[in-house]
Amino acid sequence: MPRKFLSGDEAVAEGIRLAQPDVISAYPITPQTVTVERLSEFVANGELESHYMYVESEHSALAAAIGVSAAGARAFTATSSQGLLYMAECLTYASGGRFPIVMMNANRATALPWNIYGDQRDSIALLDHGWIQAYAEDAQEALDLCLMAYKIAEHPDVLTPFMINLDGFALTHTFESVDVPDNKDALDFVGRYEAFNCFSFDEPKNIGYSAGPAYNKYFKYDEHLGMNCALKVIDEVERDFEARFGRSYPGALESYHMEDTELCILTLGSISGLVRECVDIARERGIKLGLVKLRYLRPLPSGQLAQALAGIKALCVLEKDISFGAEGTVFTNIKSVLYDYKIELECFNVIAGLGGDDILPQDIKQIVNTLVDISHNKPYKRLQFLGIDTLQEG
Amino acid sequence: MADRKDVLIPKLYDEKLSPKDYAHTTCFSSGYLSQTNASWRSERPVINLKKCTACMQCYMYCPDASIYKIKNPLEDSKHEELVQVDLDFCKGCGICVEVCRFGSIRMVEEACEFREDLI
Amino acid sequence: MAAINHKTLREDEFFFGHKACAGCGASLVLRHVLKILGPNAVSVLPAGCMSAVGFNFPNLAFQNNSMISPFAATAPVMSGIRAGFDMRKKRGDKIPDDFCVVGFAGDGATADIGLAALSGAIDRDDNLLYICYDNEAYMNTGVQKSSLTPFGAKTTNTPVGTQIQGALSNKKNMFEIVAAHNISYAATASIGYLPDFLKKVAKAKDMPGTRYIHVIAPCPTGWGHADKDTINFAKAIVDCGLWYLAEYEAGDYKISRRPKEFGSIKDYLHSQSRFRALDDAAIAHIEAERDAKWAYIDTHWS
Repeated sequence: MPRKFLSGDEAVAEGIRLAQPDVISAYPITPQTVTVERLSEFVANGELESHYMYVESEHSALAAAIGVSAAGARAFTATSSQGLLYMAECLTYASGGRFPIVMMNANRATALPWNIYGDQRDSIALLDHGWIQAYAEDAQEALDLCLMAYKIAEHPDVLTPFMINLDGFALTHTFESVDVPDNKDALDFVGRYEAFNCFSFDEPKNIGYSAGPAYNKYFKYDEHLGMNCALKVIDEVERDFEARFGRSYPGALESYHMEDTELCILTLGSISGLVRECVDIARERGIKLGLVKLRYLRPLPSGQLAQALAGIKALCVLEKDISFGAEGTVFTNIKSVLYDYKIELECFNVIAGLGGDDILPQDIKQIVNTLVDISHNKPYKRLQFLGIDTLQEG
Repeated sequence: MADRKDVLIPKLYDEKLSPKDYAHTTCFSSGYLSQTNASWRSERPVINLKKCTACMQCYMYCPDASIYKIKNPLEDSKHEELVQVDLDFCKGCGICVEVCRFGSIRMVEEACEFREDLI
Repeated sequence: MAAINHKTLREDEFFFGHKACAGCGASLVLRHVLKILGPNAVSVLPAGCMSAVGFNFPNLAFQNNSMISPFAATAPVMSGIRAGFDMRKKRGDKIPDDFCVVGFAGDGATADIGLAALSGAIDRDDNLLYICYDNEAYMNTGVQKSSLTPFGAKTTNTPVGTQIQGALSNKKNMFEIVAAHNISYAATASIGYLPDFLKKVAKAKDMPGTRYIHVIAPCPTGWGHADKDTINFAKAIVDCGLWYLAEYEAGDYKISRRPKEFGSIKDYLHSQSRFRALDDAAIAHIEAERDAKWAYIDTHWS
């Protein structure tokens, strides 16, 4: 397997090239642009046989992908923040219509104020729209997710569109050495899309119709079941991936040094890399700290979360979004799991990285200090904005 | 459903569907009807087949495709085909009467019985 | 080109059993376009009358492959279907040679919310046949004004009040906007001149690239006339010169029908309850606009 020096954006382009979508319809938006540019180069050079469609908006980009899927072909699109919100109406057409479209979203702050840098308000605000949402930590995971996404989304029991999230700039525009699977091996793994909810000329179909009060809930219930089913399919697909490519993924969440710990930081996306390092440093200094990296926010891996957090005394949920007038949405999701499983622990929410704000090792250190304080029964603030409620250095 | 020719056309089904039949996707067999539109009418067209010239304008202009060609049932063989109204789906709009240049169609109240001597 | 009439049209009905109003003009548009295109047409419909009456599970009135698109997205969904099938064919899947993608969008979906997307599709020159069925308002939601609602029309959000009487803006010229893209083919039509409409559909069917046909389809409910008079009004709007039948092809505008003498605009307007409040001044204004437009047509078009 060749290794290439790739940015997160480029890794997605390579991953999608390998998955061989039939049609790519995407509208450029920072910081996703490099992905769609690289894909256009692959098409122009004949390295990818895909129809590259120039659409005039994000709404049309996803609408076109829906049409592609309805024709039984494999679709791909990509966007970020304002673009994701502009196509938001189409997100539920895609998920309700059970079209297994894969979309890369470069997580970026939403206006106003206008901001092109990375935070996670865009995708987290749209958790309820029926898309599987995965968050990549690094470029390798981003590439690998591209291959796994189609397999998971297209599984007949799942049939749910899939959003691959990469932190804007922090991941999309930073470089690392990435294994790029062989074309044939990759296509063998992903396979060709065998649609059954698509048009047919032998047995014509009506697709995307209305369903009134008497019928609607049954469609929505099935959608919910499909999403839940994805948890099992994610595990199966990852085992298959490991067998072929030698890289193993731990399902919807990853536990790092969680076996013997009472203090935990839970987070998602690229910041997990920094937290991972801080866990190592803390342990060197005798603090038993663990990391739970949430790889999938939807479906929410409640069972896995409960297992990981059982026995924890103090938890910090570190996220790059805020639900105004409430708290961070990931925090709300986690607390819901804690309550369901009757897990009692002290937890607080750190909102960081808004508008691309840097999160430094010193900031993680402060979080660890708070966790240690909590374990000594000191009072703490439930909701903290980094750099406002907490001291921010540098 | 009216005895229409064997053409491609949505058909009426009288089935009780269960969610496992339909709820997994929003993709279903085309041309699946579960209701007629007959109850919409307050009047219906009656075609005088003897006066009908088989110009087929009523067939062409019916927005509900509820006038269709049939083999001429009359003993005379002036025309190979004439027309018939699909009373399951006719909504009684009356466009057929307007486009017929020969006065071969008239609307009668749904409440009336059909009497041949009234033609 | 072979004549299109009841003898040559297939007897299949691809749009049947729908819940359109009695006397609906738009349903006649769909019925005939699908007859001409045949069973391998894939139709796309945005939110609007035809999708609302055409597919409401479990009453699915389309015999051919059809789907509902988001309101603003008729054109890109069509493009996606076309590209998807073209790629599948390239990969060796069995796709019929005569498959085509047709869109049926109302005036609102075309000229307002879907305008940018339509422009994008024409810009790409994707292999699509786009039909705008124009009933001159947002009928499905209860008769609200669109940019194709003509001057003076009463709608539910341009009511006739003491200060303001009806819609105050002019009907946007979608045909010429589309033509200005240098589209492969564009045409205007009316179900009141059915043979002309059918001929244009048959002509457009076999052309490559993006083709656009804009057909007037009166709505008894929204226009305020009897169900039975739909075709009469579809003819009258052409006869009094308020709607022209034309084609745009290879850079040329061509009139399909030049009325020798215009029918009465006043009669046309006052026999529909949506125009009943128009006074003589307003009617004179409408007549003057019509005359000006036809003066232009007579000078510049063939």
